[in-house]
Amino acid sequence: MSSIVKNINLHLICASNLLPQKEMNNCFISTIEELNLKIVKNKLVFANGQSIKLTVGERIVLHTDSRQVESIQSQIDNIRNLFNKRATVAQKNYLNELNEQAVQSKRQSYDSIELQKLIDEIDKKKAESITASKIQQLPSCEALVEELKISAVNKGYEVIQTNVKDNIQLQFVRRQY
Amino acid sequence: MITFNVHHIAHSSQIYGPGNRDVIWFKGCSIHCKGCINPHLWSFSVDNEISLEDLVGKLETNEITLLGGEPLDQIHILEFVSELKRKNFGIVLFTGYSLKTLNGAKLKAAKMCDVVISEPFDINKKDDSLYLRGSSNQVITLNSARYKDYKFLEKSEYELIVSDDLEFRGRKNIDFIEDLLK
Repeated sequence: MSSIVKNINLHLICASNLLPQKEMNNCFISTIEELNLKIVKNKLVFANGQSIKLTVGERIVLHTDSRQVESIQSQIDNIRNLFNKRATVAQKNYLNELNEQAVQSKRQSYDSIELQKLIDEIDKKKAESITASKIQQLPSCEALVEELKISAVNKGYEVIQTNVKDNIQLQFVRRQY
Repeated sequence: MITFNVHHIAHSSQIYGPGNRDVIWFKGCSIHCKGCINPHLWSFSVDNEISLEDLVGKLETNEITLLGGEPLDQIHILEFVSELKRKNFGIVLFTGYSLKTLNGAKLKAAKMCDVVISEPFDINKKDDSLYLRGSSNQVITLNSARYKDYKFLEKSEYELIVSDDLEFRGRKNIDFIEDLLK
């Protein structure tokens, strides 16, 4: 038998790799403080007492149920918009920091192989952050799809995307060889 | 009137057999396998009763997969399968019954399906890597040549439909998606 779960409501607040974890958390904390929200035991609590599940890991995701979504949607949009403003500034600083790290690395007396490794690592972080920034600018639903695809591929799944009518359909396949 | 107790109908599914399929989850199951992923579909209480004609009318392809609950516990399953075969549908049936123990209308209905995945789910033999089966004791039986060219290769598959909200299908619960988003 096989399960079917309907009416799942997930909202992406921050894409993975946009910022270092600490910066992402700081941006989020200052966002919710400005909006007078609280975090209590992995739940985000709104001023009216409603609470929704919060996941903070490589990315930040809010989980609502279909009964909540209408009353909370505008507040979730507020969180995302304010977070995006803060994250945009934080990301600029982060990219500047990475550029500075690259300059500093070149000034150090590393051997050429070690230097190349460091530069490659910095370039990778920059590229990931820039990709994440593009995802971050997408509407929440599309951003969520992109994050799911990235994560699934990283976890060894083949992801097949098809568009059926107005819906996006993602198929996650792990083949046995 | 011939009616069915239907939990959900999905269209354009790719993970419940060959190709692009409609999928029906029936409600009601008398088997109650330990570790069943759908215990909420054991009850025979009727939430969504659909007539045979309407049920056939809701299908968008001529490829269908029957899930549950227990499809063979639907009183009129033989009439439904017969109607589908009359219209040349390809049918994949998931049943928790053992084909060896079936008789009467249930057996007739099962035999009319092109592919049958049978035997009760055994939690001690659970294996997520199997194609179309939840545990290694379950068996895929091909009753016709309709899918003879299709390779039933082992793989685990899940499906997420993104519209205004999300719909997840597969032999895992929503934790699968939540884990991906951690």
